[in-house]
This record gives sequence, C-alpha cells and structure tokens, in this order.
Amino acid sequence: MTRWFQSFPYFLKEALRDMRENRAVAALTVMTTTISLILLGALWIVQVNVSYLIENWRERFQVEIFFEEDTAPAQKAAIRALLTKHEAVERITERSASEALDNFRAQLGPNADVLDGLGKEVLPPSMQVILRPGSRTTTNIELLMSKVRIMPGVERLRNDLVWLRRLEGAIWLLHLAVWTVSVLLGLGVLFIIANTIRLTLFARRDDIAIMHLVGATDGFIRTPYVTEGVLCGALGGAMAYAVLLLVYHAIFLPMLSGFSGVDISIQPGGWPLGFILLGTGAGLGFLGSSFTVSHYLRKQRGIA
Amino acid sequence: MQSPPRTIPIINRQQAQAADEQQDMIRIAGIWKRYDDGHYVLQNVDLQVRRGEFVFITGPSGAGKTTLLSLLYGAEVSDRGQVFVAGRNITRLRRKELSRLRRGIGVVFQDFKLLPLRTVFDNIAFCQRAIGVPASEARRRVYAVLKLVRLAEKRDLSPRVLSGGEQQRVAIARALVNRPPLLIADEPTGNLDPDMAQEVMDVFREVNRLATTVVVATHDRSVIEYIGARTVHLENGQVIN
Repeated sequence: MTRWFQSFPYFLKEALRDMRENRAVAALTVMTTTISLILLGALWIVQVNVSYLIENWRERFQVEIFFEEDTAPAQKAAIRALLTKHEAVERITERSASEALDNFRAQLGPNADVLDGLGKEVLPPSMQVILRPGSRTTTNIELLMSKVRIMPGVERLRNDLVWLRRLEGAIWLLHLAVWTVSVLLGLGVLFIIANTIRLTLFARRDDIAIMHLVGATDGFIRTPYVTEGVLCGALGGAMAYAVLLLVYHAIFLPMLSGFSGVDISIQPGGWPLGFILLGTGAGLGFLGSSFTVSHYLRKQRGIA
Repeated sequence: MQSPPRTIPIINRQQAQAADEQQDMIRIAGIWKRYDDGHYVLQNVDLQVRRGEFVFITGPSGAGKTTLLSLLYGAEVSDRGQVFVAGRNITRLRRKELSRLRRGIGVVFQDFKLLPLRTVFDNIAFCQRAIGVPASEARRRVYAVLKLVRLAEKRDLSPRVLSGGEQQRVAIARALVNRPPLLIADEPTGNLDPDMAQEVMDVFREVNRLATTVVVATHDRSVIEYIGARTVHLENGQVIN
C-alpha cells in the first residue's frame, strides 16, 4: 500500500498525460458526463423541493372535530383526554361557536357583511388536532379518526386525508421516476467513460505490452487508466454542480425576487448536492474504467 | 515430423532445486509448441544454459528461435514440457509471479518495440516506473545505462529521429536498466551494419562479463564468430546440436 501511495504521482501524471494527448475525447467525455449529471442534479433538486413543499403542507395538516350543539363539557373533556393520550398528537386547540364565526368573518374580509344578521351559534364549536411532524401519515390519521368518530358528542370530522393519500402516491411516483431516470443516466455515463478508456487503452496498447514484458503487475498497469476514469467523472460532477449553482443564482433567484408577496422558495441543494454529484461522477468513472481495463487485461493475458 | 510423446518429461521440485543449485539459469525439458494451424514450431526441445553463460541460438528463419525465446519470458506457453528460468517453472507461475520473474529478464526485440511518443530517456525510465522504482532512483539508473550504451547525449530525442543502430542501443539500455541476471535478445543485429553489430555485441559481452547470462537468437555468422560463444542450432523446431 505504501508503494501504491509512493507511485500515485506517477499514476496521476500518466492519467493527465493520457487526457492531454486524447484531449478531444476526454473533453467530450467530461462534457457528456457534465450534461448527464446536470440532469441528475436537477432531478435531485426537484425532488428536494417537492419534498420540502410537501413537508410544509404537512405542517399545516390538522384534523378538525365538530361537536353537536348540545355536546356537554364532560364529553368534550373525554375526547380531549383520548386525544392527549395518543402519541401522534402534538397539541389541541378548541374553538367555540362564536370564535368560529369571528374567524370566518376575518377570512371573508371586506365581504364579512354577508354574515350580518346570522346568529352567533350558526357555526358549530370544534376542536383542532395538530399531529407531531413524524406522525402525519395516513395510517396514524385514520387510526385516530376511527377512535374519535365513535365518541359521544362528535357530529363530524374534517381533514385532508384524501389529498394526503394522493400526495403520498405522487411522492412515490416522483421517487420512482427520479431513481429510474438516475439509473439510466448513470448507465449512460458509465458507458461513455468505459468507451473513452477503451480508446485510451487502444492508443496505449504498445505501452501496455511493454509494461507487461518488463514485469509490471496488472494492478500497476490498471491504476493510471482507472485514475483517468475517476478524473473525468469527478470533473464532470464538479462542472455539473457549478452549472446548477450558476443557474440558481443567475436565473432562479432574480426570477423569484420578481414574485412579490408570493411565498415561493427554491432549495438549491447546497453542499450535499455538490458531494453527491462529485461522488457519483467519480464513482461512475471508477466503475466504468475498472471494468474496461480489467476486461482488456484479461484479453491480453494470452498475448503477453 | 515427430508426434508428441504420451509421457511428458517432468522435472519435480527436488530436481528443480538441484538444477538451481547447479547454477542453471535456463533449463528446458521436452518442449513442444504447436500453432493454431497445427504446425509444430518446436518439437521436443531440451536446453540448458548455466548462469553467466553466453549462448547463441541459431538457425534459419522459421526454425523456432523467436518462439523458444518467447517461452523464456512467458510471452508464449508451451503445449508440453517444462521451462525453468532461474529455478522457477515458468509454465506453472501465476500472473503476478510471472510479472516478478520478468523483472529479472531483459528482452531486446528485433523490431526494438520503442514508444515513439516518448523520449529516449522516458522509454527507459517508463519501464523503471512501471515496476514501481521511485523517480529519483529510476533517473539515476537510466543515466547510468544510457552512458553504458553511449546515448546519454541523445536522451531528450524521440526514437523516431535515431538511426536503426541507436534505436537498438536504446532497446538494449531498456533491457539492461533493471540489471537483469538474464538478457534475451532476438536478432539484435538484424537491422545493423557490421560495425554497429560489433558495437552491440561488445555491450552484450560487457554485461556478460558482469555475470549476466546472455541468450541471443541470430542467424548472423559474423557476430557468432566475433563472440565465440556456445551455439545451439535449431532447425524445423528441433535442436540439431
């Protein structure tokens, strides 16, 4: 291993030399890798932002319990006790009939006068149940509602369960689409890097034959080409991250600042995205080049 | 044409050790080699070369000289028989072991096999780096060997601008740079004029004087007479004397 580290400057020098001598092919590989990783990064950003929006929406998710007009305070207390015991419940607020009307009036704003003349008890009293962040799942909500629904004094329940179910389905589809496209793009990058290394190996076939004859081990012959693959991939990853950052700062941020009064924010992905793109590029470069060089050396075994 | 025997002459470990103890650099026993077209290029060849010996392999074109040499550094594999180099059975070596053995064998090819995109210096240094010699040590060794073949002043040139003789000397320098105990040369004077051929032979004689075993395949009678070493004659894949 010490010897490997001692030889690393040689491996790096040889890899850079190969890239310089085949600069057109290397540039094409880095560009294609960059484009593929930009798409991959963009998908990742979309996924992060959709998840962020959904989490925001989930934050506002609540179950509302409407009481009958003659619900006794003891019945309300029993419901509250049941809810408080439930581990998914974060907090409970209560709203009387007059508070509900005031709230509605506030929502109507300048058109609130349509409510004039109505009695103070026109809206039913209610209880709002806010769930803990990790517990806002359809299963938890269904379980809670099934218990509350049968309690005496409960007129009806309101929630956004149908929407939540649809949203969870959409999230699953989004994840599936992101992973499918990512795998396809990854395979594309793998194939391109493998092909580049194959061309380099073809150009270096005499060097490799001589290296075999003077006693270089397969590992020693392999390393500069694997280093080249890793460099191409990592460079593609770094460039993809730079492009995505540039697009975010030069296009999205000025665009969003134009939407005054609208609460929109886009998460750029940050350093994790940078590491993911760099790591994915380097990893794909390593896999593509390792596979190609190993295959080439296996074929050469019968020759030298 | 003979057919290969049903029984293969086997040299066991004890015999191999004994061979090593007897200072055999090369011991070939009952080698048969057939090419894909069914033609036997080597038939039941036996050969013994002692450490420090200078041996010529002679014979007409197609006699099997190049194939015999290729078996010595593992570029070809025999169909039958065994090849011991420095006491190690080359036919049974694993890939990594073969690589290590090759570090002790310098090979000079008839067509030089130099890399045109690298300088003279890099052609030799490259082989040092390829076996993991540190850069500073490789540099020192390359300068020393370039002086030996009198090409130190041409170290920064491309092999493309050198004459045939100079290219051959670069190839010899590359073969010698690892200070191998065994030097194998395939028609090293094939592309050289008589004066240059003598110069190359002088280099071989010099390294042989420093205890390197030298095996040269050639059909050039003048270089054989010039050195006056033992000659093994091959004809139709068989050792004649």
